Order: sequence, then C-alpha cells, then structure tokens
Amino acid sequence: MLSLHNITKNYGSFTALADVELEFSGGVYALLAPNGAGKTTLIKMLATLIFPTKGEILWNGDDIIKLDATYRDIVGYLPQDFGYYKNHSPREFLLYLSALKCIDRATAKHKTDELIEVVGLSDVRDKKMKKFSGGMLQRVGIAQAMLNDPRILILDEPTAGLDPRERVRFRNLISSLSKDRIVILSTHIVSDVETIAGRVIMFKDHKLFANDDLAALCATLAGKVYETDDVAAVKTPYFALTEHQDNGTTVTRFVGETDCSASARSVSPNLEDVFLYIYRDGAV
Amino acid sequence: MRLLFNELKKIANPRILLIVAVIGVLMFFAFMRPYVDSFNSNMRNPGSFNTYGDWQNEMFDLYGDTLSPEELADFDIPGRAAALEAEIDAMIAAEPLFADYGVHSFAEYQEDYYGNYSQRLEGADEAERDKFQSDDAAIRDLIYESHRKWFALRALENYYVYFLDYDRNGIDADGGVLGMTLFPEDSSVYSPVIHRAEQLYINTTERNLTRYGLHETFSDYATFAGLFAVIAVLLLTSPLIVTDRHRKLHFLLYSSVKGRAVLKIQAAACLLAALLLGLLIVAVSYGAFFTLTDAGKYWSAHIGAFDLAVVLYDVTFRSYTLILGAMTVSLCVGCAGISFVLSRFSSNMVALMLKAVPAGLALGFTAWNTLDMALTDQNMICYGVYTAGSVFHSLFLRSIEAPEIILAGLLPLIGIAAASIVTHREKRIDVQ
Repeated sequence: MLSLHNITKNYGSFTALADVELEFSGGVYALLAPNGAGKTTLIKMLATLIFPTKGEILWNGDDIIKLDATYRDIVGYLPQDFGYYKNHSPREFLLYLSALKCIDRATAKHKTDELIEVVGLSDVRDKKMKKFSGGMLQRVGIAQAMLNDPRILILDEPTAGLDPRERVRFRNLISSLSKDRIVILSTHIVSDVETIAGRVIMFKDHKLFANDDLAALCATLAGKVYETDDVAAVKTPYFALTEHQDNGTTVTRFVGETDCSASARSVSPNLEDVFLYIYRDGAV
Repeated sequence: MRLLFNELKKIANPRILLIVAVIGVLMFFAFMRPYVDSFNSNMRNPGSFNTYGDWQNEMFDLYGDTLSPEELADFDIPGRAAALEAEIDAMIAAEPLFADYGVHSFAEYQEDYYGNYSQRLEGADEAERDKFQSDDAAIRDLIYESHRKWFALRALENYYVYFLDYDRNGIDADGGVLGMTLFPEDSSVYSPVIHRAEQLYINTTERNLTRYGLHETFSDYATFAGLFAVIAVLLLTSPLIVTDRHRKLHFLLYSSVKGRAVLKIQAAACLLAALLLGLLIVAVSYGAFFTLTDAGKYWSAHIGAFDLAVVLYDVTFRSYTLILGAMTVSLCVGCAGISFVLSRFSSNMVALMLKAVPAGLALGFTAWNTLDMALTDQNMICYGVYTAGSVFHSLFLRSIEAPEIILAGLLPLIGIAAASIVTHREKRIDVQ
C-alpha cells in the first residue's frame, strides 16, 4: 500500500499542497482538479522528483525516500511533458530506458518488443520518433513506464493534446494495464475519469477536498441538477453549469440548492457537474 | 557500464563530430601547417638570417645530440666562414653589377653596401630610385643563398663560441659582460629556476645540439592543437545535460531506478569523452607533425638551450612532447568538468552559449598560456610567476617549479571537483 501522511509542499511563502492524507491500495485513482491545483506537485512527490516540505510518503510502511532505488524499481512514471530523443526509434529509446531501470539486456529486448506490440507500434518500432504524432509518442511513453512491470503506475495528464480516437485508445490501454497494480492518473479531463477511474481524488484550496468513488461523488449533487430550455423562468438562485443546443433551443443545465422542479426537469448529476460546481468560484 | 556507454553514444553526436572535424582541418591548414613548413625550411622566420639554417642539422648528423669543445673545433666554423666568403668574393668578381656600386669583395659588400640601402636612395630621382631598386634586388638575389649560410654560421658561432664559452671563461677582453647572467646570483629579479638552468648551460662541456627553436616551433604547434582540443571538448560535451533538461528527459532519468545517480554517470561520460578526444587530437596532430617533418630524429636529444628562450629543464624532446601532450589531455578533462557544470545550469542552448562562450575564451586563454613555450622562461605563466614586478611574483612563487604544468594539472581537479559538487547537490534538490 502507498500512503501519504500529512503531506505539505511549500515553495517559499506559497503553499502548493497542505496536509494531504491519502492511501492507494489497488485500482485506478484519478487526481481530478483544475490546472494549478497541485496534482503535478503530488505526482512529482510520488515519483521522487520533489520532496515534501512536511509529512511522509510510505510504501508498505517504509519511507519512499529512504527506500530509494527499491521504491523507484516498482514505479512506472509518464510525465506531463514526455521527453524523448527525436532521432531514436521506439526500440532504441526503450532499450536506453531499460538500462536506466537496471533491466538486464536480454529481458530488456524481450520486454521492449512485447510492449511495442501492446501499445500498437509494431509497424514503426524502428522509425525515428521525430515523425510520430502526439498519440504515438504517448504510447511510447506508456510503454517506457511499463518496462519494469511496475506495481505503481503514475500518469500525469496522459491524454492531454490527444484527439478523441487516441484518447479512447489510451483509456483502453490504461484499463487493461490496471489489473494488479496501483494506477494514479492525474487529469483535468472529466471524461477520462468517468471511463476508467475507480476512485476520484479532488483538491481545492491546495487541500484534499474529496476522495471517493464516482457514484458517491455524483450523489453529492443528487436531486440538485436540472435542465431547462427557459432559464429565465427559474426564479430561485441557481448556478449554471453548461449549455447545449437541442432542436434549435438552448438547454441550460444548472444546480439549484432549492427545489426547481416547477420550472426545470431534474437530471442525474455526472462528474462534470460535480467538477464545475466544486470549482465554481474559480478557486483551485 | 551499459549506461556509461549509452551516455558516451549521446555525446558522440555525428553532427557535432563533423563540425569538430571541419574546425580541426581548418585550424591545421590555417595555423598549424605554417609551423611544419617553418621547421622544414630550416628557417625560424623565413627570409630572416637569424637562425642556424642547415648548419646545425649537419652538426647533429656529424656529432649526435651533443657538441663537445673538440667537436666544435672540428667543425671549424672560422674555416667554413672563410670558404663561404671566398665563394661570395668569386661571385662578386664575376658580376659587373657589383662593381657599378663600388663593391669588389664580400667585405666591402658587408661594410659599404649591405646596410646602406636608405642612404643610397637619398637625393635620387624616380628613375635612379627604380634602377637602384632593380639592381639591388638582382645583387642580393645573386648571393642570397651563400649570404644566408654565412649569417647562419655566424649566428652559430655567436651562440656556441662567444655566448656560452665567454660566460664559462669570464668576461670578454674589453671588460664587457656577455652571456646569459646579467644579474647577480642573489638578485631578486631572477628566479632561482631560471638561474639554475643558465648555470647548467654555461658550465656543461657537452652542448645540446638540437634544432634551433625546436621547442618553440613544436610548442607553438602544440598550442594550437591544445586550443583546438579545448574547443572540441566544449562543443562535444556541453550539449549533453542541457539537451536532456530542455527536452524534459531528466524527469524520466531521475525517476528511474538509477535515479539522480544518472547525473554522476553523465559527468563521468563527459570526463571520459574529453580524455579520449584529447588523446585522439594529440595523437593525430602530433603524429601529423612527426610525419610531415624529420623532427623524429631529435626524439632522444635534450632540448635544453638558450636560443629563443631559456629552456628551464634539460629534458629530451621525447619528454617535452609527452609533457605537452599530457598537459593538453589534462586541460581537456578540466574543460569537460566545467562544461558539464555549465550545461547543468542552463535551461536551453542559448543560455548555455551565453555561459560557454566566455568560459571557452577563458579556457582557451588558459590553454594558450600554459602550452605556449612551456618549460621556458618565456612561457606566460612562468613569466608572471618568475618576473619581479608581476602580480603573481612573490618570494615563494618565484621558486616554484613548472607553474604552467601545475596549472594544467589543477584544471582537471577543479573540473572534477565542480562536477562532483553538482552531482552531490543534485541528490536533495527538487527537480523542476
């Protein structure tokens, strides 16, 4: 189990994260928050790239900083800005990273070929990555994260910048890889979370705000989400969520703390509703 | 080892290697080849009469790498000079043009004609000036080779007979002091290191017979090779870390099992690459010099002399070559350590260049001043340390042996220390 106790990160007088308590035991966890909320800060602490100002991160009871290489050996990490060598092919790049992960040569060759198959890059295994699309590069990224068959897979904004088809492919890949390991996925794309995450972790004001499954989170707005094509008729206070067009009319989706069924129809809340409502004041 | 090899592969960027090779070729033909040609022409300054020409080569072939008083007498400088004078006299007698200008012998040529070029032009009109210049060119051209040999013989005599022997035997007949030691032994002006060398050359009976300015010609050549080596190392090693950081690869590197220790491996790769590149450049450039000249015949000869400078250590040419080569490789390793540090603290190539250019100038300046005229009193480091009035001169430092070698040896220590501090510091900093 991976546990975080009283994790705080300060940069001078600025607090990026304060008093975060979390536990990860298995499955897909999504860190969902707007940009600047502290997701990448937490991700980087889990990847040992930065150190907490206060608190400790434990893997099976041992501090991950003291575990050093032993901990990093069970971690696979895909950074938000995935760096690569343009003149390397996927095979060359994965072999280079295998050396960094202290995987012996024979195993590295076998694993490299296997992972290139899994991520669907067999046809371009020896082509230089400078010609790859964003989606192809992210697939190389997930392949390198999986090289050491990690117990903890950390993915920072893995679908940002991908087209819908690539996003779906990526989600399917993550789902297939999530068996028997902890997957921590940081994203601000709600649809990714709805599709693959078992638990959702949200931050607000640089503190932990929510840590629950999807259904429980959506249930916090049960009976409060409405839709109407005549928002002017709603006389009670409400918070507008989204608008969409339906047969030439504008349908407004909103949250009303009081009963609005007289002027709007009640709908089931989704994660996007929860996200927009929680961060309605612009606070991260 | 696999990781080290991978990092070395990253350093050996084909494009940069090609640029380095092109710079090397250009530097060779622009700056180094002239020293090869100068060596082969036997003239320190082509056109000048101030060297020994082929005489010293002949003496070396006759007597080996040292010259005893008996061998000096056997060579019979006065006899050879007289023969040359007779030869020139015959040339003058056979050419009426000399007589037109009142020259009937070599002695008259030397006394009345040779140094009076300007006086002959005074008061002359344009036609007379043109005629004189044309005649003068023809006159000088006629006896040029013989005249050059005569001057070279006189220069040889000045060094081996008047200069060195007078110091051993005392002051000259007119009471004047000739020779090297112009200051008393205990003078604070002269470093004991210089004085020791001079006393050695004065008091030995076996004079070194290596080529005039051999050490200077080769050290000038080696200085350019050293300068190129430093530039090459800077170009090759500085992009490694900054490229990884600019592409944000350091996130993957530091979160791997190797972790931040990968920076130590990258530092080691930079230093090793510099060592290998330095050795290669020394081998190729020095090899080219010895292939294109016959300097190899002086390989076991001692170079201690007082010609263009006081050579402070009577080492063999072999040792001198190896010392310069080792200094060059040492400077390369130091340069790599510094370039590694600069690369680590640069976020992109532009930031790196802003640091690397002044650093490169400083390193090049250091390389130049350590290698040029190394082991002589004219080396700039020696000059600064040994000469009274210099900023670096002090009672302690003026006795220090081979300060230029010490400086060349300090640089890799500084580079390695700086790289070590940076890699150690990396263990506890946040990676951004």
